[in-house]
Amino acid sequence: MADRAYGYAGKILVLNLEDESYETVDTDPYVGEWVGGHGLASRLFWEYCEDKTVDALDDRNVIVIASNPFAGTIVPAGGGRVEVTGLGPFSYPEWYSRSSVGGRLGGSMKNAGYDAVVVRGTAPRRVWVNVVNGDVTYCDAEDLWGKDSWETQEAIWDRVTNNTPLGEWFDLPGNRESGRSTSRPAVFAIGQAGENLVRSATITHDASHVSGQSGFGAVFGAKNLKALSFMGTKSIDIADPARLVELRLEIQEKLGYKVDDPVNEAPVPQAVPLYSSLLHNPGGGTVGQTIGRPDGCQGCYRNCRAIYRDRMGNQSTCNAAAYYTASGKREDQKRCNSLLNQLGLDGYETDMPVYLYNLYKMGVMGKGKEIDTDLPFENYNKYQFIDTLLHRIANREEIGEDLAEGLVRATMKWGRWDEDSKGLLRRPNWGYPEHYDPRLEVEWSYGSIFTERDINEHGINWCVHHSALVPMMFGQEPFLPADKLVEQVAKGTGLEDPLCFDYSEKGIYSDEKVRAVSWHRHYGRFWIQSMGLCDWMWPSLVNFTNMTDTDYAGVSPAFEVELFKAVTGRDDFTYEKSLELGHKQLLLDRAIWVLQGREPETEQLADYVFELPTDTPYQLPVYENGTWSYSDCLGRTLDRGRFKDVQQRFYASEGWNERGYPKREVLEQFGLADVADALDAAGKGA
Amino acid sequence: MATSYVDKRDAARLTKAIFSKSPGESDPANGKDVLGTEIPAIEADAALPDDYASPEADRLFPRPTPEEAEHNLRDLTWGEHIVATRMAAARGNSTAYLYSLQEAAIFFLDGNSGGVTLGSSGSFAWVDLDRFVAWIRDTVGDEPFAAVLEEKLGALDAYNDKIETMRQLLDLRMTQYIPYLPADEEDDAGEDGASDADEGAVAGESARE
Repeated sequence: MADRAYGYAGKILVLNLEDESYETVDTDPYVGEWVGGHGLASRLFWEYCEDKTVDALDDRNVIVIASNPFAGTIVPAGGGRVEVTGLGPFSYPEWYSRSSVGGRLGGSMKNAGYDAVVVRGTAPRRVWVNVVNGDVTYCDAEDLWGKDSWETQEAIWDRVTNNTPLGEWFDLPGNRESGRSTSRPAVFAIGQAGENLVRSATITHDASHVSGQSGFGAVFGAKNLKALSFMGTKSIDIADPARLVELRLEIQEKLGYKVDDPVNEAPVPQAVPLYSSLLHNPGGGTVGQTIGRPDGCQGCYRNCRAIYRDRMGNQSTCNAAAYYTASGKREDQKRCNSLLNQLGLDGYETDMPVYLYNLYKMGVMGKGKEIDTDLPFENYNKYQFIDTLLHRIANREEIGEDLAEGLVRATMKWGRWDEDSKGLLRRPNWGYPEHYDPRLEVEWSYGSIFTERDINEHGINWCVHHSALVPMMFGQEPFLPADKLVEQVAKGTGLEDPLCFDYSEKGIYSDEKVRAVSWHRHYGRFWIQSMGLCDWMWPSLVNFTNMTDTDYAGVSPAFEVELFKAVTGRDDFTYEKSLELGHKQLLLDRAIWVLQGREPETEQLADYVFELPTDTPYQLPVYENGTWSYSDCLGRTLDRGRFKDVQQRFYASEGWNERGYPKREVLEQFGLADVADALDAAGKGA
Repeated sequence: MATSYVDKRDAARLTKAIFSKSPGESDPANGKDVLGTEIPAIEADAALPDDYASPEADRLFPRPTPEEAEHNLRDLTWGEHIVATRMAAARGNSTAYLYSLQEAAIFFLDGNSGGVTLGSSGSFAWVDLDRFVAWIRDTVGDEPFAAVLEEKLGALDAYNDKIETMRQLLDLRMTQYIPYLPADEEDDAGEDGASDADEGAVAGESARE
């Protein structure tokens, strides 16, 4: 055994911004039960945030950035992510929240000497923090304030590397053992939106890796913190490197897209990008015919992103990639994606141009109208419109002052929320835009409303929804018949019961569904958010990439555990233990939300979820009349009474009482007596 | 050789851009002299050469008169719009509100809807095609186009076959409207954002190149 646990740098950095001091604490006491990522961050937040009921932009809020044992390793689709937690300003109301970011940040933090960073207080001046091989320096950021996130990163690269040209070696500060490098530091920076406390502000790393949901960029801005920079040459001990290489190769061989001779391909060229969520073709396009070079997070072979010759749209993916399409020009789409990242705005939380345009067309918004603005709606289909809109939000100018508060708060101010939330403006949970249909794909909607934000975990979604919808839209048969699909998904999750994945009108309220939602939250908390596995690949339930008629199983859940053992050396670790730890993290998070004022009555999905029937085909497996099939699920709503019943059964399954408060006996069973004491002290013991 | 509305539209824009430049003027996009030989400048909003007409389109639909084009390409108001859905893997479904024939063409024919997209974020356009045909006929007012759509789509079963046929017909019909579409202004950055794409090296390229 090394002098520190395998997979860890061994130290946690605590930044006290108020007096520009710092301290370090050992990671070791947290390794066993909190492990890394979200688990580690939540425990650190619990210990370092003295008043968890303050506003997100209060200087008593604490932000934690936590890597994990997989960060910086060759774990496939798992070596690049870190978790960010703290009180988030975006949701309505504000909750203790989370976000994660990929790229090379996690590995760089550990190379610089730290597994996590705790950010406390507010700096008396504008600062950025330079971390190099364990050394920590507060640097003046006055000249960086006002710069966008890309300009800021470049300025910091130059300062840390002493203006060394790209590709050339430079010596890191210190003695000879500090080492040399050609790399740039990994910088985590805010743009103008964060500086101006915009609730949808991100923290950007490299071109398009962002801590997106939750608005943590605004928290950085409130703390006068422009950026964190990590650079180092420290290595991290792996318990069984040979086994890790073996697992990596095995997974890549089994699941990787065979570039030269693909097993499965999209049926027509225009389907290629849409099939890529299932086939994992690098860059999302047809190899050799894309306009960009495939690019990915550290250690990932899948490379779902791309780098472009003109650098606009670099690394773009997810919602922000298609944020602006109204001009019909791909160059505008790319340019807008980059603008979002430069200003530091989350493309999902800032998803509002269509709604604003509708208000304009309705005669409600515009120059001299009820909502008075001179936004250039007459040029909605030109880049000028989106450029003006985003700059105004990021700088809180004109109508941007309202929109910087997020669309839910803005529409409440305008007196439009009650009417528009019935369908025109679809914000099903906590002010977040609809992601997947909350009336149908209920792991997503139940999981979001019972926690803190849009869950944004695609692992189940790719299988149950996309693998049927995408081929059927292109006139093809689904990848698997419904019965075989749910059987395999049940097997890969370890739930073993196909009824957990029944999306019929009966199935979405069943005990099996409650069990699936519970599993999803526990798996997500541990493997996605604490171990940094990317939800675009994990859990690996069905191998769509190299599927044959008789061999289509993914590698979950066995390989997650094997990877964990190879990296950490914890040979007694089991899949059941991982879910138990995920459950434990959710108990701690729930206690924080209860302290913040969470009650069953606040967990309300928007009215349209219960009142507006679905009207667009949305393939999902259903079990009806004794057989499995795919349904287009038209005409469906959720039932309010049955939703409340699900809510109570979910509470019970988690060990919460009827008010949703974690029970003392359950907390103590998980070693969380101090959490039970805190709830008692707040009059919310159960 | 340009073959579709999208290609022809872009080619038309390029033609306008080139013809509206003076000899020796550089193209700011690539710094090259786009006019190696002396070509007389023409008005930027002059009608397009008939080279962009499509015999395929002309076989299917009568060319719109200027009056018909003006009417059929007009901006619509709230209540006259049609709703479509962009189905994207990463984003899920998002609703598009289309307020003109040209907005419909952008939505159904642009690179993103058609599949050429960024990274792994492909999307697929969905619309109730019966409603779409009725909208073209009754709201937009393009009856010849609606009649051909109705005939061709009625012979198909699978959604993908229908939407692809619709896209091809829309593409052809829009080709006939190109001379009447408003001029596209290339430099359309916002009030204070014009410099964003023009500044020097930016994060994201140099770190990885």
